[in-house]
Amino acid sequence: MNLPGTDEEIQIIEAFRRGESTAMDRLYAKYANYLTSICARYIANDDDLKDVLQESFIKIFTQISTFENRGKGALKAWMSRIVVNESLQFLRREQKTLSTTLDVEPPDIPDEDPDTEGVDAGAMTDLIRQLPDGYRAVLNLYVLEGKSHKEIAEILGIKADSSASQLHRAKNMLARMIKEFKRSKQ
Amino acid sequence: MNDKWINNLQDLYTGEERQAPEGLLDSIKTEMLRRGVMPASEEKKARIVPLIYWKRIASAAALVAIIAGATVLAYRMRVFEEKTDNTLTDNNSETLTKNSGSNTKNNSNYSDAASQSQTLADEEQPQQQDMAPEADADKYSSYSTTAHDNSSNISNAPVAYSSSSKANNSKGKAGNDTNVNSALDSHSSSTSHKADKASNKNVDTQAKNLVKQNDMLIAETDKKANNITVEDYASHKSDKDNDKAINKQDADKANADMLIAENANVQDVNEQKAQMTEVSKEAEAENYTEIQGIQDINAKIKKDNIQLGIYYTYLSGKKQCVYANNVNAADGSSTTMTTNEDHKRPFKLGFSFKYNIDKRWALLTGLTYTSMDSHLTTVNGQNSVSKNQKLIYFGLPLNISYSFWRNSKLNIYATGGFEAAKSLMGTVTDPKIMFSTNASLGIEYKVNKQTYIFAEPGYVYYFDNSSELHSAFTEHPNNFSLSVGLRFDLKK
Repeated sequence: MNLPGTDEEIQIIEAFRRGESTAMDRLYAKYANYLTSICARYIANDDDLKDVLQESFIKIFTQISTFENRGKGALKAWMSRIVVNESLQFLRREQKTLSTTLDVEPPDIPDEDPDTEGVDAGAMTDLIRQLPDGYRAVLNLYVLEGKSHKEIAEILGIKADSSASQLHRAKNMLARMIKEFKRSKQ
Repeated sequence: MNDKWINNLQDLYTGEERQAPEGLLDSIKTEMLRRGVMPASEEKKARIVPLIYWKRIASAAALVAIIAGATVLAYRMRVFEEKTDNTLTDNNSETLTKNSGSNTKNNSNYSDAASQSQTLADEEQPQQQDMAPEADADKYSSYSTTAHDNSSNISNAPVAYSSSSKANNSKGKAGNDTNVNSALDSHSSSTSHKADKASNKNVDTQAKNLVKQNDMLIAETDKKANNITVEDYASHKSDKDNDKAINKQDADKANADMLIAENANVQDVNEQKAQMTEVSKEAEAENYTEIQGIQDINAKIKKDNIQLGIYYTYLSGKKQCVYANNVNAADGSSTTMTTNEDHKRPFKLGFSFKYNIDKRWALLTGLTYTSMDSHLTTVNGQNSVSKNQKLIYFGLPLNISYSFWRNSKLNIYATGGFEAAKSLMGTVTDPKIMFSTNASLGIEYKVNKQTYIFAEPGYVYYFDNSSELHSAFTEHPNNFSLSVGLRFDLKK
């Protein structure tokens, strides 16, 4: 039995296959906001965000014929991977800011876990975007992409143990930011 | 480190959406158009790409045909003008003959000299040197050729000069009638030519109008398509709660049907447009203002399609040549004067303004600066005088360019057009406008986000503007050219 979501995915892929001129619009209308939320977690600057999304979509539109449908959510996952790769590629190009923020020792922050209760995803993204580039990249890759520190080290061109310590600091910094955010809301 | 907070964060992000940047889809489409990439489609790859390939070849051929046609047209008009000039000059020389006997003698003398110098001028340099001693070995070399440089011992110098630049004047003296007849002939033939042209133009204008209408239709259908997309998009958004899922599916289907219908419309119009474009291509070289109209409509659809550029142009045109004339002095004796002209290679810089009409066609205009140095040595008997001549031209080019292959980094294109240049500075200035035509093959490489480097090897022809001044342009009209420069995207 086909679920509605899968149905729509197949329809869009078929539209591209037939060369319909509206295929791009349909795909964009369905997934742009979802992909933006992923990209925004990596890229803090809104102008850069637009550029990275543009490159991602061009890749998606031109390479969709190479995509093989493997069931529900496969298209979404494939597109997410493209967006994450483009984002990381962008961050690597901006390596300078990445490595400097990674090397700087932050002030000591008490060790605590972020309390995400009562914070919605949009606000959380806004907080994550306030983290230094390097912290944010490690946090995203570890928590949301499920990468190991070894993989993260390879992707970002840093040492594995430095990835672990970045995550630790990112976590503490995020915890503090969430606290401040909640306080300001009260 | 598989803590609770990580799971919380993962849960929080399941299915999160965030408002996409405004205008993103438009800029994606514009960028894809600029790069010449299309949404991947297996069927298209097999069937339509070869068609596009042929269209590209046809378009490139049309561009070459436009330039060649315009060149021939310009050349024919020039021949006509020259013939009219001849008739006028013949009348003058007749008056001179009536006025005085000595003048008649002078005239006949100079006509010899003129025909001789014309022969010389037509020959290559080594041959000229062979012939010059024949005229007078001892007095080989000489004095001042250019009209504004008359020395007092030369009578008739301006006339002699102008005659040397137009060979058939002297022949006209013998047979005025035939000359007038031929002038009349050429006039009537050119009138009929003009009539042809006029009627052609009417047809072309009609074709243009049709193209315009088509373009407007496309613009409208595009707008409609966009509206539908917005509705489509809105329906998706409102679809967050599952209760409305069924409604939404219905709406989607209705939308999809409409989209397919619209799509068919657009394709029809596109096909018509392709046919019309073939018809109208010939008209493009003649009437740029009409293209402007189409441009305006396109401008509403796209942004970011203007580029500024700076470039240097290498021109092959340097030339050394010798002019020899027999000149009658005031005392009735005749001397030979020779001018050694050494025209250095012109130095040309340009600033360009490129308007991308669509992903293949572009219009270019701008401003050019050309500096030309010449060293002129005139020898008259034992005396020789040298001087340096500097001409600085400012030109207004108008070119059209067609890109027949491009990817995200490279762009290969053909370009051609005209340039009108006027000399405004230098040791002398030329009151006449210098026209030229050019055709080049260009290659452009994207260096970074908005900077491109390009090189355009090509050909430039400088039309004879009947100027009294000699320069690298007039002595070396056929040029190899190589332009290299930078272009920048002009962002809003």
